[in-house]
Amino acid sequence: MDFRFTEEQISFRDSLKKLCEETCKTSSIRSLWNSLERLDQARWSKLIDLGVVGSLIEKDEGGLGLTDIDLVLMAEESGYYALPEPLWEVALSGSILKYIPNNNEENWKARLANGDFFILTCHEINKFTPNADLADAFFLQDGDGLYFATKEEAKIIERDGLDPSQPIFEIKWKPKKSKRLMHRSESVEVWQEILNRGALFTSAQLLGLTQKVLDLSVDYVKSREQFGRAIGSFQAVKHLLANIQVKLEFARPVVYKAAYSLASNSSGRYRDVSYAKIVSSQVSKLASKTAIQSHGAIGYTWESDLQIFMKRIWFLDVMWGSSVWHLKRLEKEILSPSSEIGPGGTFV
Amino acid sequence: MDLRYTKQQESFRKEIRKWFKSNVPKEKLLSFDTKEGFEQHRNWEKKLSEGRWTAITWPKIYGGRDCDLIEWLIFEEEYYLANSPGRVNQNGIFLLGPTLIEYGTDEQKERFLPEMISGKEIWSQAWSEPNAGSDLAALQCKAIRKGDKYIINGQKTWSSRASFADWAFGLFRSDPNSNRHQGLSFLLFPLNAEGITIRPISQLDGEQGFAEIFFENAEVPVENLVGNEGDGWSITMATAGFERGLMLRSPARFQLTARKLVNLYLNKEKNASSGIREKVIQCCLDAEAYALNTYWTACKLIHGGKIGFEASTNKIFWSELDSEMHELAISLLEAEGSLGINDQISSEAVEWIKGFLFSLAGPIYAGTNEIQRNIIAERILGLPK
Repeated sequence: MDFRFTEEQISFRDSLKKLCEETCKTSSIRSLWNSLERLDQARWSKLIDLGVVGSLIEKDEGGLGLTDIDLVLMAEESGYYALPEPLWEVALSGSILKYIPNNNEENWKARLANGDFFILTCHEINKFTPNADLADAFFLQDGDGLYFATKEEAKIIERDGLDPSQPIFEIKWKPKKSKRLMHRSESVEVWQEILNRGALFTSAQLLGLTQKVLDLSVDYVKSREQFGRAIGSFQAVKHLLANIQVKLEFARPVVYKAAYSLASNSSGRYRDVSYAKIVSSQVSKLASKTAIQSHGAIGYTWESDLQIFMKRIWFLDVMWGSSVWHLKRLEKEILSPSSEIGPGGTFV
Repeated sequence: MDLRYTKQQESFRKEIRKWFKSNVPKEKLLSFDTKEGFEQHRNWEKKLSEGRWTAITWPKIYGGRDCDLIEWLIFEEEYYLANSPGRVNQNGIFLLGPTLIEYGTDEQKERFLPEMISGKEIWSQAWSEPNAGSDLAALQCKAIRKGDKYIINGQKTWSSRASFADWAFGLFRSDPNSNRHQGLSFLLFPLNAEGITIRPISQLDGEQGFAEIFFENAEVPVENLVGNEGDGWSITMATAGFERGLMLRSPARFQLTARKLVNLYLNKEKNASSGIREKVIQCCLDAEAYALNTYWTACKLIHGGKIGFEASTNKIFWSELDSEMHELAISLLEAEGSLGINDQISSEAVEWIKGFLFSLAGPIYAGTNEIQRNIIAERILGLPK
């Protein structure tokens, strides 16, 4: 029983932290909003060098062969900086390559691993696909079949998204039998695994985002003075922020355990991932509400950087299954006489 | 990261399960806040000590098993799974014992630890005073040294277990001219000493779980001073400190309540609203989160990690969860939720109602949740006083 990350995993996280600290300031995020550029190329190529996009691809297919445990802290860190690039979406697509028969025709497997071929995975649970305009191709779902379509074969319709850093799209396409990579009988579990992993990466990012809006609020209430003193000295304000600290502390191990369950393919992984998505959604939403309340009117402005992080929270909250969806998924498993709820059931 | 128990841990679990299966009393004991129930629980402590289960994290030389925190968590899981009685001597075993092991003299350890382990001496605590509750440093009860004795005068209150216990430990002002955190000393005293009067306080449930203690020239020998005179505050903080904060309420306790809540829900499902269903699931989730967080912290500590102010975040989390679970149970019980604790027919309902009443004390004792939030805001988040 060892519930710790290795030094290697922590230093992998720290290298992403350093990269974000240097290249993903809020000014840089804002500059993309007003630019025709859709990606910060310099930042993206550094992210590629870090290996995350191919991290979940098996080593013999050109990836790093890492696991969810290796990545969960990084996903959390990327949330802290509201990294706009679709790092986790591309990594996610890599994670299913092992199930897909070799298709040398386009040689996209290797290109995906080294980051010059973007495949986004469109799961039915997500009505919109963020950053679809950047994709070279898509993994798509029809019934339970798993299909491949290049960007030319799919029609993408942009919708106005709440988060200016995450343009969202609807994908229209016609399933072609020749482009079917897996029959529904084989792909049911793959689609579930995709959903689980998508929800895990989202949960981890929500943890980082929660920490960020908490930090911004703490900084603000320490410096903002009213009635001749910092507003952070008032108990009413202190207690709001303390509540976030409590909930965040208790959400982290839940998300980390979900990463472990996915990586070890444990039978409880569905339950654990749903737990993770529920608690991370809950704490992050409460944190954004508390953050704007602590900031007062300035938090309600376009100018305040708080919006960058709050809007990412609201965006991710509904991706890969809202907390309501995940609660429904859990319901039967928990509310049963034979469920593992109870002393000693934690690691069953 | 490896979230599997080792073979050793698994066999430890089996050993515990086996012992408890054949030793937990078949009949539920009376409440330890009654005279008769108190003695029944004292016998249970004795039984536990015969199996060497009283204080498994203590060093072997003091009657413990040198267990680490993971083993402690496993022990607690099995303890609650076996529906074992509550721990009447928890003030001694979990608060004073570790303090004596760290700060006590050899004589004190020799004198007090064996009697504590065997349940021969049950301990009460004496922190609060009528005018020193959340603001403990405002305490005024005096213990002035005279020769080889301390003479105690004043009053303590809300002293848990003092109605029936044998001994108590507490914090006293040993320097009459001192202020706040200075000039305080940590003393041990027998509750039957001359000059000490105990007045039990009836609680919300009608039982006498705590008491007032009056001191009128009560004499306590200087051997009963723990640490140095005047160091009482820091010793008290260590007593209430983190590991004890972690061990005060083990996750298994709330996981068991969550399990029972699910069972109650399943019995009453037909009449329950979907709102209640969601809340029940949420409680299960929170009980699991509490367990995971405790395992997480335990692993960190075992490997030499530093501890922060987790005792404060923990306390808020478990006390709010406990309150929520019991409120839900009362809603699910419908008419039976109005029974008193002495009803002889619906034992399941009575257990929930007792738990409900006690859950209301959770956010108050061991430092109110408001004080804990202040600590979190000031010490963790760094907000100004």
